[in-house]
Amino acid sequence: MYRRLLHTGKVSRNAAVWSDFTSRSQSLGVSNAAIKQGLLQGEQRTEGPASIKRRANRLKYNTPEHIDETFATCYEYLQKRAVKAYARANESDITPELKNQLLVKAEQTNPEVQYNFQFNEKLDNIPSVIDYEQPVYRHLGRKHWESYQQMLLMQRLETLKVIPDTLPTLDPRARVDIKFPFSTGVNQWIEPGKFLSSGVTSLEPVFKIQEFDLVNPYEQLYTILVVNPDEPDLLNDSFKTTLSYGLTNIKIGYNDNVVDSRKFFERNVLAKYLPPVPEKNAGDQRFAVWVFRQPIDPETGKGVAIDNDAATQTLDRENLDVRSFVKDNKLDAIGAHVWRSKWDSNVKNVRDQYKLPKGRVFSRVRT
Amino acid sequence: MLSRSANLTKAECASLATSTTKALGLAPRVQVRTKRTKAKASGITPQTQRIITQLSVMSARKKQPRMLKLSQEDLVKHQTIQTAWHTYQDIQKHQRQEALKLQFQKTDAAMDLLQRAAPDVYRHANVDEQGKVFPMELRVPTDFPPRKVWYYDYKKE
Repeated sequence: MYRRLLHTGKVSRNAAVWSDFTSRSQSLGVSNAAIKQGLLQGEQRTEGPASIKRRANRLKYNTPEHIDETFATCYEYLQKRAVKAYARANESDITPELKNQLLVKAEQTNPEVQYNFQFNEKLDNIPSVIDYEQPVYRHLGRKHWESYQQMLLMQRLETLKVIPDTLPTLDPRARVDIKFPFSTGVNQWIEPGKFLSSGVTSLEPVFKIQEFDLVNPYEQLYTILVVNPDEPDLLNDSFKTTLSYGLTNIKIGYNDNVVDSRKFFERNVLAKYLPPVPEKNAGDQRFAVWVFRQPIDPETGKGVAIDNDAATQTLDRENLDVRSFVKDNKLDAIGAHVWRSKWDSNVKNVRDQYKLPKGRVFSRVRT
Repeated sequence: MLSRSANLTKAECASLATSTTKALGLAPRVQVRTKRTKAKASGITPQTQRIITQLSVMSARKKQPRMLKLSQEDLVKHQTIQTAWHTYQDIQKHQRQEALKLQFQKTDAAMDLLQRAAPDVYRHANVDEQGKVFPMELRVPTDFPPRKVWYYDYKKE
């Protein structure tokens, strides 16, 4: 039945949509010729799977029986469905969201796309292999993020009570990663909730904001805040929130999305970086990174910029009300991150480096 | 008993026991462990017990079949085949569901019509048949029916 269904249809010329790269991105195909041949034509043509590096292992490898014939049938079947999806996506009467969905549908069963996505670096992506400008890679990227990192982030935000201590809640839509890439730091992406020594955090972090949604990267502006809700407030016998770092009106792309000093100017800096300098016996301090989308003007379609000069006048860095700041600027929280710091022997050096006043030493008071 | 009566040490007991067996001309008693052939109180036969013991000392990994090692290409091929098959089945299922839905709608419309046209017949058509089982006598008519229609006292061998 299956076989008959597949082979009665006439093969039209545009049926080979997955092997036509005239209008499709090169990233939707496997770039390595040997691997591509092994994947699409089968291993009989090549000397074992090209993805296995050692020749001895390649010769030793046994491919499952009849996998190539079955694969060819299935490839043809799925490609036919892709042709339909592409035809619908190219019609003019559909919304951009539907077009995005159809493009995902047309490519997500493409074995070459699957190969590229599964066996290549997803976070530090190479745009010629995993190009997040393609709807299908954004879709796969989102699924991959949701399968682990998003849950991990939400767990850390909830258990460390970052939500609701800084903002009420978060509907995560973008993947946010931070790194302290300078000579004092660690050159790796930080897991949410990790304790970092004061030396590592002595220079500002870089942020990577991976958007998966359909946005206009030429107009969309972003705000990044790093807040510390654990600053001791002795007057009120409580804690207050301080602003460690603030960036506004940042533009990122789908692939070019690492926010470091190359990506912004002096005018984008809402608050200069003040490194974590926890005081002795004051406990652990959480540093919450919040990433917001700034509003888009519905009439002009342009992003609404925050006036940094005016904002810095009214901003109280030492006692920041994050909720009202977000409300006033109509910000939309899309992603977050958190790291923790506590007092260590290097805090004194960091204070000297930034010419900060001497830290206090807390002690228990019997009541 | 010996040791209790005369307050002797263990070594002295042993030497006394050997001397007694020698004096009586008996062979020394040797404890020998042989293969267990009878079931224990637990009711498990020794053969079963042996298998249980062997399995318990083996690691869990060795008990399950070895995982197939697929190359990256073959893994993607395998996933593509799976996707195609599931897509195909989904479509089939959807079509069947749609056909059933249409059938139901048609039946429903026919019954409505019947209710309006002939309420009496409608009532007969809607008799509750709960608990009714399929009659054994009801068979597909055949050109050459068997002499014995139904083996009522059939027993499985």
